[in-house]
Amino acid sequence: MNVVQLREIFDWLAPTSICELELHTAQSHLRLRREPNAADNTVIVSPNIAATAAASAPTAVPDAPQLLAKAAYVGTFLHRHPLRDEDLAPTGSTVKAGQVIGLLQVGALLMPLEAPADGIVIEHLVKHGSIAGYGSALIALEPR
Amino acid sequence: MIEILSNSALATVQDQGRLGSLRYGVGTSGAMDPLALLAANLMLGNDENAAAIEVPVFPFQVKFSADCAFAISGADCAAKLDDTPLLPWSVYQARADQVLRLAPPQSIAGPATLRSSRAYLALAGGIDVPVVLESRATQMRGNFGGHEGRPLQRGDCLRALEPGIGTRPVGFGIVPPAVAMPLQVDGINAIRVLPAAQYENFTEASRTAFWSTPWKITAQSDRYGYRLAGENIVPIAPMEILSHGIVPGVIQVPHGGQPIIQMRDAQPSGGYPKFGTVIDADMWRLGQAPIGSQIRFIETSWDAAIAALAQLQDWRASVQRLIALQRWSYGRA
Amino acid sequence: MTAPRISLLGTTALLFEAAGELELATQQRIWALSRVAQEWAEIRESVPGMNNLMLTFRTPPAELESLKTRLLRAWDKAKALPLEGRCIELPVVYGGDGGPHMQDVMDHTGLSIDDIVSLHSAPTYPVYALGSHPGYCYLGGMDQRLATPRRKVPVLSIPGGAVSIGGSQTGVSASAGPSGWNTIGSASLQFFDPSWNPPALLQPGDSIKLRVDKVIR
Repeated sequence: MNVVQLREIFDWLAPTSICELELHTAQSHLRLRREPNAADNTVIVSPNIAATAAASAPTAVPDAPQLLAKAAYVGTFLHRHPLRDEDLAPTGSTVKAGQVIGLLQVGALLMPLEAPADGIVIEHLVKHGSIAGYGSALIALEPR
Repeated sequence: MIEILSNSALATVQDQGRLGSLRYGVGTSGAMDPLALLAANLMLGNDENAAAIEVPVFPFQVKFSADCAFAISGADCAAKLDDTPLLPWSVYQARADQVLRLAPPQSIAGPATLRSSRAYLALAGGIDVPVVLESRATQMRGNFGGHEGRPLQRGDCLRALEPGIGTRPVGFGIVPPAVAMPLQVDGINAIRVLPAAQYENFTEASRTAFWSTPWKITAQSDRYGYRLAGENIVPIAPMEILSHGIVPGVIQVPHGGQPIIQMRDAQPSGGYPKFGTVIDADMWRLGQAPIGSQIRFIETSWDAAIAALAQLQDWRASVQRLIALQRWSYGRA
Repeated sequence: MTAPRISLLGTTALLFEAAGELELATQQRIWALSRVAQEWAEIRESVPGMNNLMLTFRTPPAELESLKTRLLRAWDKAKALPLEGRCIELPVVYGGDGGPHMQDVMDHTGLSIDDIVSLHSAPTYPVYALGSHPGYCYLGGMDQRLATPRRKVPVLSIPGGAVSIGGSQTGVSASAGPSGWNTIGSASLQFFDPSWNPPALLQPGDSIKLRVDKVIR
């Protein structure tokens, strides 16, 4: 990362209310913080846009083996598209690897949450419309 | 690049409109939902005024004859690329020989106030049709612009300006403006209106009724104009007005008393008494109102109308900024 | 003389209407005003109408008063701009299938078909403005005995070449489309081609002479 790119990032951030930004790339790890007004928006930009599969089961959910679809962004977790009544992946439904099973609303953008593998949806771990932190488990799947 | 597979009644190529030839009698044309078209272009990284297909009648099907990134916006049509379901207001990569299908918007269960009627299909770089009088929009009355100056037919082939496998991110969407910027009165979608020249020449009862009662979009509504059904709007005395320039959004009241709102294919002049004009910032809402649905009108002021335009600019800027940030991080991955 | 009137067409445009009756001298001032306003930075297009001028905005100004003041000042200074354009002769078939509303005009005016045809074809009509649809000319100078109100419900489609009367105005349609006017005859001429420069055959200041080709009673 060079100064020009940093300046570009500053320019993007200047008109926003974002006060903290964390950026991981293959070569670098950048964390920017702004103090002034106590906004609580933290945006972490990750180059990894696919949902990450969890290696181990979380403590809250019993029964092994499980897969977790995790947030690749900080955003509002949506079980369904705002124009629709039906959830993208209702509990008990069978999903395929790569299928969009939820959405993370990051400002005006809707980022897909993809199933990490083929499976059956066991549980939504975060409520529709709730803020999800980077890396938090959103949907538990039973692999098939 | 794409071949139209459906006999797509009234699907047309549109951009943001032909804004500078009114003095030759040429109306503006352009997308009925300019925000949906803008959003589709922003997602693809296109020029903001790039041309796309406006689809008012479903089902609608196209086949990609080559790889091409595309975006869909506007009405949620349960789109499918081959067998893969797609989300509305999103951008995707198509491969050669894939078929995109748009189903009727009624086939999707969703909140009633978010129901809309027109979908947009944008291709990477925009649709490659000639620029005529500074626009690619289809001029229906003049039979020029767009694709051969007419609605699309089965077998028509359209090219994208930047086909291939895109270098920009795909697979994401944006929050539809109707969700981000709702406007309702008593649970009915509302439209802001500035009074026009003859406003004071209608009876007080008519003026009150206009603002306080719902209006139905009748079946005689299209890209030329929306004919509304509701209370009769009655002039204090009959008026004959000399012909003058008009723009999309002007609400005329013919002698019959039922208002007509001029839409994007409207003629650029008229002489019926003008009750008001839908503000530019709300034309996208009106452009998506389905036939049979109801709307309410809100009286507004110049300052509020300018502020509403600024709100759209802010929305556009935030979408642009986030897409740029996302594109940058995608480039780094 | 009463003051001109300025009103809004949403945030898209502004409409300037001169006071008084439709007449060539006023219209020539409208053309002059149009040329001045077209040069203003916030104006996208200056579009003359009949006794009026529409100005569309590039960006609507945050406050309107200074623009209104500038417009009224420019109007006070505007001198009649006599444009002596070319004159086109146009054969017209009056009445019959090509003039389906002749009867309505007869009923309203109380005139016979022959009177209507002779009054309507007598003047050389100056093109006051273009509008309605590509290449369509609004003509000035119709005999006011022919004035007939626009139709209660617009007709969904009238053919190209339709010669019609709407209120105190008359014109010849350049292509098929909806209209609220009363069609009394038909003619045949290409008024518009997007590849021409300018794309319209006639401009304000040109004129049309209607020649009676036939009267179908």
